[in-house]
Amino acid sequence: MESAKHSVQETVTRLLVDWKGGSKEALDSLTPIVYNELRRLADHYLRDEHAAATLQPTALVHEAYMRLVAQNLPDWESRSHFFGIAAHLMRQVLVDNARRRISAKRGSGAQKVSIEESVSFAPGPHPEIEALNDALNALAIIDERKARVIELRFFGGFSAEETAQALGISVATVGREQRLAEAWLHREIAAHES
Amino acid sequence: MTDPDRWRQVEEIFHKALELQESERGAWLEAVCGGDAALCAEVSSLLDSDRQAAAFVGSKVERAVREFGAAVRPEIEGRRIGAYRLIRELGRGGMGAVYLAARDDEQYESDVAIKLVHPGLDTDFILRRFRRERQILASLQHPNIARLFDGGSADDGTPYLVMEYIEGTWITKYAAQKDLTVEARLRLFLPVCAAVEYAHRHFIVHRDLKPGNILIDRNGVPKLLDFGISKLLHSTPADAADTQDVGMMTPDYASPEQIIGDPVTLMSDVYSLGAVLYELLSKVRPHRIEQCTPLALERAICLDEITPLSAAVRNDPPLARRLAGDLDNILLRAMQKQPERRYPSVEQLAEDIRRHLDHQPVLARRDSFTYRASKFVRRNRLPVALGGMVAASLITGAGVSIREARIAQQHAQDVRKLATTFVFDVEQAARELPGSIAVRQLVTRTGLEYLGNLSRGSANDWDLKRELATAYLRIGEVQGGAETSNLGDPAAALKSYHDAQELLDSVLMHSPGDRQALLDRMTVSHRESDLHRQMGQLPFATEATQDGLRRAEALLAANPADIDAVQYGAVFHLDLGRLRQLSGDLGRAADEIATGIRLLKQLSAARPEERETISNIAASQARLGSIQAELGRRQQALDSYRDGVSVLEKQDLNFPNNVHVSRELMLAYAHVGDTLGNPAYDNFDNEAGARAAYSKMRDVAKKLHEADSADARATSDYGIALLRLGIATSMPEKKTLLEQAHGFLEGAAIRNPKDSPTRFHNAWSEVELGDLSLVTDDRAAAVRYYGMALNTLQTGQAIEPTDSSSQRWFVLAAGKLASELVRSNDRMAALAALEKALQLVERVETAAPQSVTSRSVMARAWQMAGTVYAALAERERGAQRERDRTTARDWYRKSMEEWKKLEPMQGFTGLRRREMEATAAEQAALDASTRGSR
Repeated sequence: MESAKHSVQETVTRLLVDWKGGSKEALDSLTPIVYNELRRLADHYLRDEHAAATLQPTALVHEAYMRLVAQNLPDWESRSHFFGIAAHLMRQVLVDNARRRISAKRGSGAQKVSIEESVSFAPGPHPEIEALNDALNALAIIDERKARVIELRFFGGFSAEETAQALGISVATVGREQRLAEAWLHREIAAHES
Repeated sequence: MTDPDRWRQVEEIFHKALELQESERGAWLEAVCGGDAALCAEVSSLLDSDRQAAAFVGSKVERAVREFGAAVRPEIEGRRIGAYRLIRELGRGGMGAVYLAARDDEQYESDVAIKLVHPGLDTDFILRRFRRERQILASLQHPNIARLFDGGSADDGTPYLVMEYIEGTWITKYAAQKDLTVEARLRLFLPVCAAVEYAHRHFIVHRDLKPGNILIDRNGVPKLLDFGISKLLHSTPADAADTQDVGMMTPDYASPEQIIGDPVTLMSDVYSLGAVLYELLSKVRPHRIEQCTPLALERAICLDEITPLSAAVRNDPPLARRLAGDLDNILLRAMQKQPERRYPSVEQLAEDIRRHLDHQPVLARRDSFTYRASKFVRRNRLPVALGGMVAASLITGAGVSIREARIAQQHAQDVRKLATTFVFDVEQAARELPGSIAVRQLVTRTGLEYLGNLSRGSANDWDLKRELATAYLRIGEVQGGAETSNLGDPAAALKSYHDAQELLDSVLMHSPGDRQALLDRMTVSHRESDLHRQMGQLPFATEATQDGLRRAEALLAANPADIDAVQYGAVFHLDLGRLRQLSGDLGRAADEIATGIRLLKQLSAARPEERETISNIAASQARLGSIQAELGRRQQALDSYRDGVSVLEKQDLNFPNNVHVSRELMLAYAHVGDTLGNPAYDNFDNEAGARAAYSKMRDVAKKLHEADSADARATSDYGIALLRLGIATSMPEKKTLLEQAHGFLEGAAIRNPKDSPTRFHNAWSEVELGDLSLVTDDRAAAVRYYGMALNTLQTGQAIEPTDSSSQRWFVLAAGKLASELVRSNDRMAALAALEKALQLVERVETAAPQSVTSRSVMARAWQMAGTVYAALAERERGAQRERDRTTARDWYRKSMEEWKKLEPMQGFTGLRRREMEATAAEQAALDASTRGSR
């Protein structure tokens, strides 16, 4: 009965509260739980191509929230914290999956590769999402807030208002940040693709 | 570009430039940047990108999502789950994937749907909950509900459910394909309501009603899937867990309370039915959910008003006209944000739909004379056409009677709704408030008071009485812990059962043929019996069981093929058998269990898909066998065990990968072998037969061990099987087998030091190896092995006073060790070893055990003391010899006194008789040698 009483949801909620209270360990404990749940949900839902075509990653983040957080957290701040990490981890899940796909394709080696070929084997196709991921990392170095805006908006499903609230800035600023960030990312990725 | 100041500059210029017309930007930019060509290039390249960047990031993310999972698709086809082979995937939902499956044996040609639950974070909890609730869900039998047959956990631990396979189309798609009229759609929807209503009467809420769960089969019959399953699979003690069921795939049909995490009730299903009906009629979903964030969802479902049905189809004026009015109102009422403002029951929603179809005034409609009149005119077109006067009087009259009827009906409905929802809430609260016993008791008590009031007012309302009885039954289960983590108030539970019983008795008095009431009445008896038995009140338990049995037998007498009666009959006979066994009446216990088994077999033949029945048969046969063995009825015991083997062998063929079945089969072989020829048990001295059974036992144990060599229990089981095979095998294989057994048992004991069977079998293998060393006259090795056996039984934890197997092996090892030490002339060590055994049985004696098995351990230890002292006397001279002989005689006498007490008792088997006779013989030998030496 113990494990039932001490549910994952309670744990997650407690970790969120602890984290808000300044505990770094809480975040460390929280991260794998959220990552695994997202990974699991993604594996689960997105294996079906039809579902993947209609489903947004933001929906997964939301479902992870529904599954992992015991009560509706009383304060917006903790909720927003949760979505913040979840957005970040969702990004991670997508990147990891793309890498896994590439390596699975390579590993399944339907056609035999000669030794010379395999020695000079190029790093392989660079998944698009990984390019975006790299660019976002680069952006974060120059301007972390812009990278967060992108993450929250596209991987966490935040509305402009929610993003503004989460980052403590105005909605107008969110719009401006996003616009420049998108232009910057586009330029960065286009430069690498060409 | 990492200089922050520089970056801020870029940012500022970029945004200013965006405010300009594109054509003006170039010149402006050059002016602003002055001579800084790098700054100018930077901003202008960003502006270039900006033109192409729209939806750029979003599309990358989208593509990544689409590509997800294409890499690894699990090989499911041909995978076996229990007795089923997966054929293909049917779909995926919030909780898992559903597969079409077929039974793998030729016997039953039936396709089923198997839902494999995605192993989540709390699989254990799901499984526990699953076992509790499965029976309730499996009991839902309604022509419009897909049945739940079975479930369990697959070999890899994944929980699964076996359900009726419905080949059908979503209700909404079906209606679209057939281009059904509004009226046809409504008629299609009514059986759906009936099914939900039926489940609600059993206090089961669907919680996940959506078009995908409402299929129309090939005969055009609606079938509801997944009843109560979302709760079963997802609920955790925290109430908010209910919101999980919503899943992101279908928030469209979820009620506001599900979205915000308030408790889910019957009203939540009313809402979801409304949402499905909305889509069925208008072809659009009631909410426009654009974003999946909690805020957006809350806004859409909990705050935004629903567009009236007719307004949603504005672009189809004929349809809009058809839906305007009644249907608008019905849906607005069903989909109220606040549960208490919705229809109080599904029945009422259905009733309003029916009224609409019959052109009668709907209850959802606000009172209005003109409305009633217009209805009346439509319903009575002909008489109205006959004359205004007549019509006018009719209208007035009809208005009054409709109003009165409505009030009366409303009242009855409200009472019913309160009874059902309230009890549901009580049950929910009691289950899901961990720890807060006071609150739970308060809630339960309030519920009971409320039910009490309703019962008093239920005079001749038989339906209400029946429902109240069900409510009491559920409350009793909560109180008695029959299916929850135990509220633990058995006396209160008995009171609730008693109330249920009274209500049902009065219903049955009124209509003796009321089958559901009768079945519920028998359930009450079974639960009462269980509780009384747990409380140690065997006579009451027996009385309740006999009462239930009489009813089941009456049903059986009327129709021997009545399968419910067969089931209840089996339950009661087995209950009674258990009670007889507890009160020591083994003979009658055996008879009852045998009858129970016969009925279980009949049940299994009628419902072959219910695996639990087969497990129940095998378990009952093992129980029967052990009772018969205890009665000394070796042949009968052997027959029962063999019967169990044949049931399980068949089952093992069907479920070759089911660990439980395999293990039960292994144990059944062990029982057969023990009875045929294990010297440690009452046996037939048929060593070859025992060897054959043990050999099969070993094969199964080996398979299980190899399947999971990390499993301590499988390791231990394998060791136990090898030990038994070793016992029944002769040298030189014997030695190899015993040594192997010892190795596995040691390994298992290290991993699981507190497991008594592992421990005593390990000691047993050491005693056997000690005995074997004596055969080759390696006495040092024998002493070592016997000492090891004592050690084995002493490490970890002390032997429980009730653990007679460990006690027996301890006493045997100590006795054998002491005897060897006597032979080595080590008097002190021998007496020390003996002392250990005597101390152990002293503790046993203090616990005052009743059974022959436990008490024979004492007799055996005292006999051993006699043996040791008699042997010591042989090595002594003079006064010491006399003292030892006297001590030996005293121990023999004490032992014989105990044997004599045990002799007339049930359970004094041939084996015990032989042990007693051995004691008597030693005693006589001592007397003879005493006389001889005088």
